[in-house]
Amino acid sequence: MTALTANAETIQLADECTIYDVAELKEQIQNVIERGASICFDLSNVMVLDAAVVQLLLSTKITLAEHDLNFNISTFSEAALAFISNIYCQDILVNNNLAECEGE
Amino acid sequence: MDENTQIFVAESEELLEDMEQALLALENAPNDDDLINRIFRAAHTIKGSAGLFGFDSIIAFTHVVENLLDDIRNCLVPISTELISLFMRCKDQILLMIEDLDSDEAVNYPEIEDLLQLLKAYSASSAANSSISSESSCANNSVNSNNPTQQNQDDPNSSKAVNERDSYHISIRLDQDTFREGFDPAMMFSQLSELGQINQAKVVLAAIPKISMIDSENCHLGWELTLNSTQSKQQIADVLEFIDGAMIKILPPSSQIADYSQLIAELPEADHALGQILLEIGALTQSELQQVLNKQKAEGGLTGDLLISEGIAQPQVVKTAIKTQNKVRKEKQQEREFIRVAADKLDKLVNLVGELVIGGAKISQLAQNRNDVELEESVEEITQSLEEIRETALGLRMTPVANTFNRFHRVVRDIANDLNKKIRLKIIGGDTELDKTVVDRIADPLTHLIRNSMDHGLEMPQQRLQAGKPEEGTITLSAFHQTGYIVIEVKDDGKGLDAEKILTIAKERGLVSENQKMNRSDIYKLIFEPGFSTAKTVNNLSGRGVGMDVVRRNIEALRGTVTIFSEPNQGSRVVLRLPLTLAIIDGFHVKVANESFIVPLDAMVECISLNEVQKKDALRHNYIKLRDEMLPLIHLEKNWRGDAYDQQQQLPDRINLVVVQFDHKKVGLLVDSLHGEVQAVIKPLGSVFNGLSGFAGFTLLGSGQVAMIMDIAELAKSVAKTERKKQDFVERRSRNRVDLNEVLL
Repeated sequence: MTALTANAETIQLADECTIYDVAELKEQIQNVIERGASICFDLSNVMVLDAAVVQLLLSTKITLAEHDLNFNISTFSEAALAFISNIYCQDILVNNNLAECEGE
Repeated sequence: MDENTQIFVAESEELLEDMEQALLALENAPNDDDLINRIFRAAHTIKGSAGLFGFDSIIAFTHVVENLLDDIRNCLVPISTELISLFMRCKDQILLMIEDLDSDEAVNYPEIEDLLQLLKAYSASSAANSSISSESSCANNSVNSNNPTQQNQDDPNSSKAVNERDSYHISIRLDQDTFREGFDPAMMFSQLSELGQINQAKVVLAAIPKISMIDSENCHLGWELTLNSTQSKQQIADVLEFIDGAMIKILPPSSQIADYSQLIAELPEADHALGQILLEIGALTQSELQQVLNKQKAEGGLTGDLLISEGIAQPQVVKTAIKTQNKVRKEKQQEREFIRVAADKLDKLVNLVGELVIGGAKISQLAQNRNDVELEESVEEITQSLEEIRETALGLRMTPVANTFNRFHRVVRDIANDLNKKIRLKIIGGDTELDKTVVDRIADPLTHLIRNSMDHGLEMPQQRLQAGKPEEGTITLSAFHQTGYIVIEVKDDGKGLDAEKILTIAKERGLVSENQKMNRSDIYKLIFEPGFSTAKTVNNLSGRGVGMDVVRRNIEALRGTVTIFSEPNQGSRVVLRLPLTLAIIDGFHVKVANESFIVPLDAMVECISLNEVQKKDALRHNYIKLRDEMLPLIHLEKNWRGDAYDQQQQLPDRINLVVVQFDHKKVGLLVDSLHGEVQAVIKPLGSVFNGLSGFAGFTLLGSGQVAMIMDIAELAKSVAKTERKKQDFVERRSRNRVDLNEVLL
């Protein structure tokens, strides 16, 4: 689900977000980037996450930086945060990336 | 052999070629790290690729080669000529194994055991050296010591990061199918945590593509991490073994700088900043890197230089990181610039272009017949485009002769060692391009020529010194373009050919008659006669009397010529002239007695119409005087028809002369009519024409008519032969007259 804010669009990840969903999620992300907007992810509902999705988030962060756009994650569920930390990606996806989505 | 194996074979052959060149260069620069790394990389890549296909025998052998190369990199084994020769033999062995991959039968390699024993003997000596590595043979060892403790004592500014390597450093790159196979990287970290404490772990972003480029189901994840553990390296490796296809590198605690350098060289990423690589492998701390980057911003200096000047990183580590970056950049650039295409696909393309040219000529002919100006103009446009397509298609097959020339460094090195001679090979014009078909077919003739020069031409070092020459002989292999031909010369500064000896042997073998008088140039040509050899003993280099004969036949089969020049005590020079391409030529269409012939445009000098005086000369003497020069003639109709030619037939009012030239020799061709330029697709003559000389092949004209393509080199040769016969006859007659006069007196 994508929600429009002032300068960024929010993408909310579903409760189960795995390799089976990455193709669709990628398309969603690409559409936002094509519109020239920053992206704010909402991971508050995520109960199941896998490395394919984390990799897509990393790729999004790299791409947005190249376009001088912002990458942020507004909220994490405990499960999402634990998984990201367990595979040592918190430095890139959690630290310095937490922000309010609105008013970016 | 399936397509993937073919690619493996082609790539391995290239790597082995590169390995050989690096080994040869290493002989003159035994301390060059770049060369040693090039050789190691070649062996390592071949072993890795062989692993993908399960070519176990190649993996097993290359593994032992790689081990010894690794010892050399770690300064445990000194480079020597014997060691280089051993690696050359190993390279040959790997090549043999690769070439035998398409063999259906099991192949035995009798030499392999001997090679393995030698390799292992060297490796065993390296084990002894490892305990005294600070005194090892690497010349630069005193600069870049392998002992970090020693290094830190010498350099008070040395990095804290270097001192604090008390953890395992682990590099992990997951295989791209990891996600599809359902592997969870969290499990990997969980297993590692059971072995010790993960101090630091960083995901490697450099390998992750941008969102537009990523195949989101492919895995591009990798980590650099440090692990505090009391377990052995093997125990850690065992835990990580379950990750299918992953690239795992483990550096034990207190690893040396050289190990980190090697790690940088082996890691796939290099596009991210140099500082980032050093940071990720643990050679730098974050604050040290930040310090360098801040200073770099202020002073605009280079990261590598700053890292060294600030004492944060060792020069060897920085040097390797820069090399890795440059190598990957270069490789990426080359990937963009080149596409590997199978040679048979190019051949097919050239053949199709040939058909297109013939089809184009047909349309052009039809347009002319219809007298339709608009149609003719359109056809003209298509013809021009066709010409460009033809040039481009032929250009695709052009390849630098250096690919072939560079192989001879090894030939020269090995044979010089066998003969106890000192010989240097000099290559000039290696970037000269030639059709691939021709390039492939000149390797053997050139090998014969070079072997002959080394064996028969160049003297022993002592003899050379006595003759006032440098001890080291030189063989110069050069290539250059000359009016539609490529000229390849093999020159040596040896003793030159012995004309008297050659003539004596030729007479003994009945190649020339006892009384036959010959000039020096003709005597030299005798060495190309079948069965001729001046060598007293037959050896494995030359002297079987087949080499030079094979050279001439191979070159002539390519529509080329061989000429030899020699000066006593100064050396010999063999000149090969070869056509640039064997496929399509620009030609000039002429007709004789309603038959069509094509004269290669490169060989044409001019076309003229004969005046009455010239006509008479042409009929009586087979030559005419053209601008104060005597020009030998070839009566094409007479040559073509042979006995069927009617000597009494009336000559046409107008006789045209096409003047052609080959190797400074001009010849006039008498023809009935001139029909202008054409593009001729060369088709080989069938075996039924084996006895027919003077023709390089045939082509189909736009009208569908067959036209013979003239072989100007062959024609020039036949004219020269006729002239020689005439001269001999005149000389003999004048001698006979003198004898007769003596008798009468």
